[in-house]
Amino acid sequence: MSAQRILLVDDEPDALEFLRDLLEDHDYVVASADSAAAGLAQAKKERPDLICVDVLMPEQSGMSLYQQLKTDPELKNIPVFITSGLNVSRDLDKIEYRRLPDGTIIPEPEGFVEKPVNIQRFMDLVSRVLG
Amino acid sequence: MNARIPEDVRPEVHRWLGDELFEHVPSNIVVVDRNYRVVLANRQFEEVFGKAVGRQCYEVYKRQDKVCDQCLAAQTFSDGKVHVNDEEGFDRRGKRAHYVVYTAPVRNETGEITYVIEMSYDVTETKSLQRAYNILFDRAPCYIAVINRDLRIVRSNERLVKKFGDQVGEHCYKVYKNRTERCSDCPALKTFADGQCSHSEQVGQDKSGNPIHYIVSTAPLERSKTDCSYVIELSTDVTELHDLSDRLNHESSFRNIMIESTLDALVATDTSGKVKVFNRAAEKLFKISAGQVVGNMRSDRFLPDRFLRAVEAGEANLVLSEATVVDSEGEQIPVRFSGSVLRNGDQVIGGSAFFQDLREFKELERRNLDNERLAAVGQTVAQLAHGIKNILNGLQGGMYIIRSGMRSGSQKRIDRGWNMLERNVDRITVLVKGFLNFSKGYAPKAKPTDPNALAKEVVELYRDAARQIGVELVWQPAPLVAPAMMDAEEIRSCLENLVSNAMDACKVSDNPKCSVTLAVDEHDDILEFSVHDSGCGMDHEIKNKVFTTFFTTKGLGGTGLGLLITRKIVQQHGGSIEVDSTPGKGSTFRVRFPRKRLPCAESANILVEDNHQEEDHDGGVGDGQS
Repeated sequence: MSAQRILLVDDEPDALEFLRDLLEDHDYVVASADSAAAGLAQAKKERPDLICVDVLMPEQSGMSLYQQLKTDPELKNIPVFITSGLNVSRDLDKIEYRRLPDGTIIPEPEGFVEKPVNIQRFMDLVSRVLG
Repeated sequence: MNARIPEDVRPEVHRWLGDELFEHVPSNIVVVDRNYRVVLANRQFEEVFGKAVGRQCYEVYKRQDKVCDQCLAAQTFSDGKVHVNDEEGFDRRGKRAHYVVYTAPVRNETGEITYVIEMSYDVTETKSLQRAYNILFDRAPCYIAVINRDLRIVRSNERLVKKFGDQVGEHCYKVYKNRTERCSDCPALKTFADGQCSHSEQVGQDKSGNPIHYIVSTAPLERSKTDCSYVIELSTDVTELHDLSDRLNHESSFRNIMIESTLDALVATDTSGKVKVFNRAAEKLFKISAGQVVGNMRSDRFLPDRFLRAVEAGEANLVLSEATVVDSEGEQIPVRFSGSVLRNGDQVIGGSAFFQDLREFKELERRNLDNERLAAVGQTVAQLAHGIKNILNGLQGGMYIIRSGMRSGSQKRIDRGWNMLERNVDRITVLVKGFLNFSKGYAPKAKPTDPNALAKEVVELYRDAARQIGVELVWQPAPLVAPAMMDAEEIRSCLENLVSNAMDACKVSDNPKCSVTLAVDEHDDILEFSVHDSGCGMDHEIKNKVFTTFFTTKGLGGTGLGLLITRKIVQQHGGSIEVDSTPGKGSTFRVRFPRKRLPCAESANILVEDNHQEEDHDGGVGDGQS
């Protein structure tokens, strides 16, 4: 069985470096992108098994990328984790990120990961979703 | 006649009574025969009517050529009685003459009336007096009625008839007031009772039912005080006067109500400078009662100096959107002031001043500012938490990498983890410093500043940096913009922050020819700085968040405090900041300062007072750290 592949999308180099090391230490294959646009391109190219998306990024936010991923017929089944220093469950609901301009509601992400990342909890979540 | 004269009267008296009396009596006497021919006329008669003997009496008296219709002499000839009548004729000069005539029969021995004696006396003067009296009676500018003891009108003048109708014979109370019984305060009854004149004021109604106000005077018509059977009533119509007085009263009370109920304090003065009007709102504003002020105190004490100087300089009006007055306890009160010199034609008759208490307004404004600051603090805390969580994530990452490097014996990995720790410790240092700067109190040191020059300085500062990253930096001044009261240092740092953000947006943009424009504009007394970039722009969520929860999208490059500090400074200058952005196209930040809200000396003071507390607080923290 080939290793499972995870795509990290975050504009903060330290956050990318930390999670890359952590996931690689657990034998996952990691790809990364430092913007939403690069993340979408990578996702189409790599077809990863899991995508972790940071919320606040310049130019295009992670929530906008999440909407693109979940409405793309070829990508919408890939599980997505939202990672953020925001209080994700509370703050994100406020902006109604699941409601698209045409009124359709997209599903919730497969996981929320609040920064600073709790290593044990994060790894449990990853293995459960990919298990 | 002879029967009346006693027998023993001396013959010479008889002779005098016969001849002398006829000649000397102050009365006109003629004797006419049955043909009305004058057979004898005394001296008095001929002095008045001229030569009479031998002429017809009607010719002599009235210059007629035939007998009068109602000839008194004819009546006496036929019935033998004495008759009396008023007659009108002409004297010997042709002048009209009024006289009263008596006719008496003269009988012969057989009792036959052979002659008639006509005695007359002149009443011309009496008649003309009577005519004058009648004219006076009818035309006098008052209502006149003669009433009897039964209070019935026996005579009324034209004016009374015109106003109340022709009601001779009616009771006066019916005529004047349309009443069915006597009035309780009837002045005529008093006059009937005591024979004295009486006066009173009455309200009646005219023949159309309109109320008539009149002052009535009653006087006894007869000379005898004890027995008075008629009273004359003279009534002067004061309805118009009454209406006028009513209107004046109404207007005066309307004015008083207006003065007393207005929410603005009103102080008015006459030419003496003493306060004449001091309304309830003025009592409240100045904390002194009108009784203490009106007529006692000079108005100068309540008026702003600027108004007094303006009046001295000949100004008639002055409106001050903000002035300060002092109440009786010495407290300074901010007011909106409007003062005028009052004139009647060219003549100055006094002055008036309106004061609108601005304390409540100021308090609201202050509370509003406090609320905005509290909101900013809340946002800062949220931002701070977010920033700290990201840094903690970096610290956690660094620790993980070091730990795993130690476990695997990889010095390279340990170094990498150590660098990450150092970077994040630096980040937290920058964040804390920035936060302290933000929370430190600050009062704008406002000075007249040229907005164009300020914008140009900022553009000059970033010119080299812009050239290095290939961004075109444009300075777009406003034509004819007046200097504005602002803290140049602080506003410059705001503009620097916005320009620097704009250049960052260009850095991450795909657009190869990005530009940043710093423009100054003014319209409707609002000064506007705008920073436009054609960089990456922001999507909807970020744009919404940029001023609600302040954050950074620059990773390690920003603390997220730049815009927060910028907004704080802008608000302290009474301004506002907003953003317009399209992803991929660019963003425009607009900072607007309404000129009337820009800091002046007073608002700067308020902020300084607030800041003392904050500085004290900061000082405490600082001591703890050192």
